[in-house]
Amino acid sequence: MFSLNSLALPLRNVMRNRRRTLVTLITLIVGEIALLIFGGYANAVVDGMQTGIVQQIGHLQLQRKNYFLLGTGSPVDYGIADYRQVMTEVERDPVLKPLVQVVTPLLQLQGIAGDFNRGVSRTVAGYGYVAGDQNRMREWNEYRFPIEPKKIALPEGQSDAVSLGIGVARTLRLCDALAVPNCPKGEPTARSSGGAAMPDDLGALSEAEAAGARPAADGKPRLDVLAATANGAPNVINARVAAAESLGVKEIDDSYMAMPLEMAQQLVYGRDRPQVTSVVLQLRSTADIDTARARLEALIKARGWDLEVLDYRTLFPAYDQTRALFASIFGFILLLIGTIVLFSVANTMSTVVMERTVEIGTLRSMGVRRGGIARQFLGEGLIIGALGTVLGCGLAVLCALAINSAGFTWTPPNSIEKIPLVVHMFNTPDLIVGSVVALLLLAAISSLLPAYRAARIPVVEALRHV
Amino acid sequence: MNRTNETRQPPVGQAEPRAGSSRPAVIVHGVHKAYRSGTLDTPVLRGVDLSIETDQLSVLSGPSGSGKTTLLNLIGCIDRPDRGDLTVLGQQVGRLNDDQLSDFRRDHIGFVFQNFNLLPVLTAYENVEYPLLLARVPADERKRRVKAALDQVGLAAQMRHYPAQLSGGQRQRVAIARAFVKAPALILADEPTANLDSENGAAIVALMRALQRQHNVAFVISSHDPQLKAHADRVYPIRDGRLLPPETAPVRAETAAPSLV
Ligand SMILES: Nc1ncnc2c1ncn2[C@@H]1O[C@H](COP(=O)(O)OP(=O)(O)O)[C@@H](O)[C@H]1O
Ligand SMILES: [Mg+2]
Repeated sequence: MFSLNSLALPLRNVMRNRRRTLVTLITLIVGEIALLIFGGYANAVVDGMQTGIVQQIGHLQLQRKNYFLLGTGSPVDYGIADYRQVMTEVERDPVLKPLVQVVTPLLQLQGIAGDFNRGVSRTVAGYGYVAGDQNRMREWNEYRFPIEPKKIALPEGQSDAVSLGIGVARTLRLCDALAVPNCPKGEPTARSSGGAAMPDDLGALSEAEAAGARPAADGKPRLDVLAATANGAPNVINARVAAAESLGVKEIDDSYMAMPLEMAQQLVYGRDRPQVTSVVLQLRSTADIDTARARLEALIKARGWDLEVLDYRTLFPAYDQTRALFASIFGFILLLIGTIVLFSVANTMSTVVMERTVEIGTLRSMGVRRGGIARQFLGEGLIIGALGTVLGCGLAVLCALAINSAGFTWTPPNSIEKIPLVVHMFNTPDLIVGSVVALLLLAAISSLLPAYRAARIPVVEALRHV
Repeated sequence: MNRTNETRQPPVGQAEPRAGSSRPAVIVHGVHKAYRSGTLDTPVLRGVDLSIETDQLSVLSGPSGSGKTTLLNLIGCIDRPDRGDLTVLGQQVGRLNDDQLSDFRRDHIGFVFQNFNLLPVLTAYENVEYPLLLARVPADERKRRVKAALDQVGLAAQMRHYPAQLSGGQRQRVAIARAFVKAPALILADEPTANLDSENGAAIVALMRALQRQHNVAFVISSHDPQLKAHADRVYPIRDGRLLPPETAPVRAETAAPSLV
């Protein structure tokens, strides 16, 4: 019951001046909480961003070499002709099979959509999708965000239906028909300034193509979609507009148009062999991305395909930019908090050494070596550091749980859609372990000099100290 | 770890062993010590030669500022002389480095201070236990020895008290138990009664006298208190950093330790 191990003495000394210890602890606790909450928030934002990206473009895409850099405007030159064989091989591959959740083709095209009779049109970025695959991709939620998967507006199994971004729907004056939010009333309905003017002969072409098809039987509006074919001639398809949806980013909403893959292929390749611009792979877990990529690259080499593998970070550079931004803010906060912790602990420990100078002399006279004195004060600094960071961690976890269950939402920059505001602290141990180690290390470093000084005080002077 | 007592050297210098006792516990030879403050040198010890017998209660006696504490610090190996050398328990301490001196103190020297200098966060029991922990005495033996030491100073009942809960006299008793508990060969006490009233001071003196006899230890006390001299086996008067011719103790009482408390 009286045993005095090496921890007991520093621990009691730490508890000696409770008020001062508490002030130092609060610095550490608040610092730890700030680091963890901000870090957890940054994690959640980045995870949320990754979730959104992976739901839409998958983890990895196989594309023809340089399509990403040079060819996005010309699907004709960069089409993957044997995409079905590529997909089959990927789906059957023993390494990829357990990692991959969805393999789906994608044909991206540039086109013009319009109702040329009403005189409205605009350029669109067209996506030829397999709607069912896209809906399966949108179920991806590795980070367990409290949201239900949202199906894409493009209906499954309707070969003549397309869906629009809400911005496209607005410019095409389809607000009422598609129940688009935020539509200004009383705007001129014809020849909108933003729309692309349609040459008369093309208008005639589309008339011919869609003769008798308008108005649609189900009351849904119809549109003409125009794109350049492989031989350079324009091609027009008349499509039924099933719905408008928001992709969360206004720039995308202003140009987005989804259509069935077959429709896109018909637009671009006409009666030629249908191709795609990408084979999209969505993995079960982002952690497998390097394994999957390496395997794909090996496959490409073995088969001699003229393809390259691009990951979502390359395809969507804003992801890494956002990560870097948060990392630099986190670094700045760490620097601030680290400095405060450093000075706070150093100040406390210097005061402690001053106050206990006679005690140091007493211990030394009893035979404690210099190293023993240094260790004792270092130990006290570490105890304060450990208490502060552990308490800080505990409180931060409670805060995180509270925030995560409060159901807050927020609108990220460059976005128009509200998303849940959550804090991710546990997906990887990096944040908690890193911040605890950093603050502990700082507490140790700031105790070093006072501890060293304490050890070097001549015994006689220490004993004379008043 | 340097167990210096295993390599004790023969005493050097002018030891003058008294009849019946062995070699001196402490030999101080030609010791000078000055304190430097800025460019000013204040000589405090100016050539001290002395030899302190084992098994004796010796008193360094002199007025305030005469250099008693300075000399005691040198003997206690917590300070080094500017000139001259000291042999403590057969060890030429000038040859030891700081860690070796620390170990030497831990193993052989006990201190009692004017201001008691107990560790305030430790109970009386734990304060007495501390030197044994330092010396890595096993738990069972530690317990036995701490209890015995507290018994001897009459504080067994207060062993769980913290220093703040003890009177000055009680604190000094704990400090004395702490000095004795590791059974050192040499105990040094710097004005141990100066912060006590005369009654408590007298009790402490009697306690130290009794314990010295019981443990057969070399006990050196510095004091300007005349009543202490009466209990000493030998008195070393010191004035202005120099030793006066020795006064021998009036009578050495060879009786058993008086009952305490
Ligand atoms: N560290 C020190 N620095 C400067 N002067 C000191 C120091 N220690 C002691 N002195 C001076 O040395 C003289 C002797 O001191 P000390 O040995 O403590 O005497 P005593 O214990 O007999 O009163 C005194 O004048 C004191 O002021
Ligand atoms: Mg003195």
